[in-house]
Amino acid sequence: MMPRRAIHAVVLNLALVAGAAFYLLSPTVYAYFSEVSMSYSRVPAWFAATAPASMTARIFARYNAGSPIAARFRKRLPCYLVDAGARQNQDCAHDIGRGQLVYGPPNFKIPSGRYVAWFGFSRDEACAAGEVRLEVDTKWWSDSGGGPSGGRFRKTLATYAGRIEPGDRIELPFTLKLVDAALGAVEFRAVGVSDCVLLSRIELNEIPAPLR
Amino acid sequence: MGTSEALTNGRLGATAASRGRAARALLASFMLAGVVGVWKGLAPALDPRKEFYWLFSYQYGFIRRGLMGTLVHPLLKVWSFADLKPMIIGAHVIACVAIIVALQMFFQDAVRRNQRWEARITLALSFLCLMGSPLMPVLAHDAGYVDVYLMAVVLTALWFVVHERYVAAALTVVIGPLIHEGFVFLWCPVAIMLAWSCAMLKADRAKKLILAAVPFLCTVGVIWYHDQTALRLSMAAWPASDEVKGAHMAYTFGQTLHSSFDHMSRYEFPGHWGNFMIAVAYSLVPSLLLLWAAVFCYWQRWTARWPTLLVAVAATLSPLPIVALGWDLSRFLSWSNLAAAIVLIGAGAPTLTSLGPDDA
Repeated sequence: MMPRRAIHAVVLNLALVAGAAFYLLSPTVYAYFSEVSMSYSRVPAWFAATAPASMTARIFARYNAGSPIAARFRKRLPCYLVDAGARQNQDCAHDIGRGQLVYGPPNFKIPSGRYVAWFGFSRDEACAAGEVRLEVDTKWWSDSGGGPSGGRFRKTLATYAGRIEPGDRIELPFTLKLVDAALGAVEFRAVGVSDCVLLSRIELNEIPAPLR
Repeated sequence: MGTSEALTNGRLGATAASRGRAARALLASFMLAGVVGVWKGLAPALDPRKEFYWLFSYQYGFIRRGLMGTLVHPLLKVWSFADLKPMIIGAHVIACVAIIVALQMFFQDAVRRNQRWEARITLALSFLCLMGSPLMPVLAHDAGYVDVYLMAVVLTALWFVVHERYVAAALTVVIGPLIHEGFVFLWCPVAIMLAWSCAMLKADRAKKLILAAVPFLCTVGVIWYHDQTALRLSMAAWPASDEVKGAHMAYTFGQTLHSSFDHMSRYEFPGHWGNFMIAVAYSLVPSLLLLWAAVFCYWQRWTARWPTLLVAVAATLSPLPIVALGWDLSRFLSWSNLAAAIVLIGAGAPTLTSLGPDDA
């Protein structure tokens, strides 16, 4: 029979090895009181496919639910978009011409779940109708300063391409998975394909999970 | 000595030497976990909110948190700050690696001092757990912060303490509060263990007590002699937006212990207790494992078992009161991982803990 001390040693050493393996494969967790961000800065992407990654994402799944920054973004999303060639008006609407881009908001962290994003369009003197490509992406921690091509890993969650008339409302439902929500930030993108459109509203609503 | 006895002793010596080499190789390989942690957390660029650490110096007078900027200041005559940023990141990475190496040396020392094979294995695996813990990724993430230098100062001073060089340790810890007043929270585990060793061991009591107190006295001095006019001049010379400067004047330099606590209790804790508990539970598991390892390795040798355990727990948790004063939750919680490592190192160090014989 194993002596008590040997059993103690085995249990403790297994716990130490398990703890080391779990934390080593987990993402870097950087938590404040109301927000948490996670990243795998420079290690290979397969770290994110491991069990510790999804376990950590599950542990912190609802951490950002009450984030004041996310709440501020959601209240007036178009005001926090960044223009790359496009032009922002005083009321936060964006004139988007051919080849021009609007993206953002920066580091928009929301919990995992099912959502629907509404893109609303109107008209002004410069822009009325045109073709546009709309995207909802999740972008993992950026190495390149968060510019239009920033983000080490980008995944498109929902997309629309087509002609837009003033007054149109485009609905893009998407599902944000646990690990994507943990490691990534949600980004909205609108790229002008032809003519010019005026993006005046973006709304984001969570679709309640069906009752079981 | 007979021939057979000499041969037996020789074999035992060779076995011990080969085990020592194996332990060193194992510990060295575990450093890789720390390097992965650094790579996992390392920020791509200097945090712009923390640039002031590198730009504010004593050129206008003595200010809090001005030491690093004062050291960097001569370089700004040769290079622009934009050119210096990659060097600051490089120094940050080097400091992270130096911390890994220093901790490895401490654990190697602890393994060497221990006669029991099971305790040696546990100490080695404790080092692996520490290297995997949130400590290294969070430290690496905070590029531009000065925590990495504060930890380097604590570990250097601890090295002097373990080797009974208290004057050198005292001279070292003077640097800490000049870098950041938060140093006292990182120093708490060592201070508690020094105070406990004064109660249990007769040697060098006065030196240990003075050493434990030095960072606290220095912090009072730093706050007392901080020159608000010099700070305003430094702010004026800083090419940052008024919004950024205002935030730093209000929070970084304008807060007192009372106002920080007031802010935290009014705005950060209410409504976020659930988040707080999640972060605490996640970050402190490695600290608890290291504490458990300390108990396993040294329980039989501690001359006052339960009081020593109580002191070890208190020392591990001692940096945590800072979460009542600042909102960087992960950053401060990871300090407890380092505290637990200090406790594990100190719990087997004859200068810090009253130990019985190691009758392996």
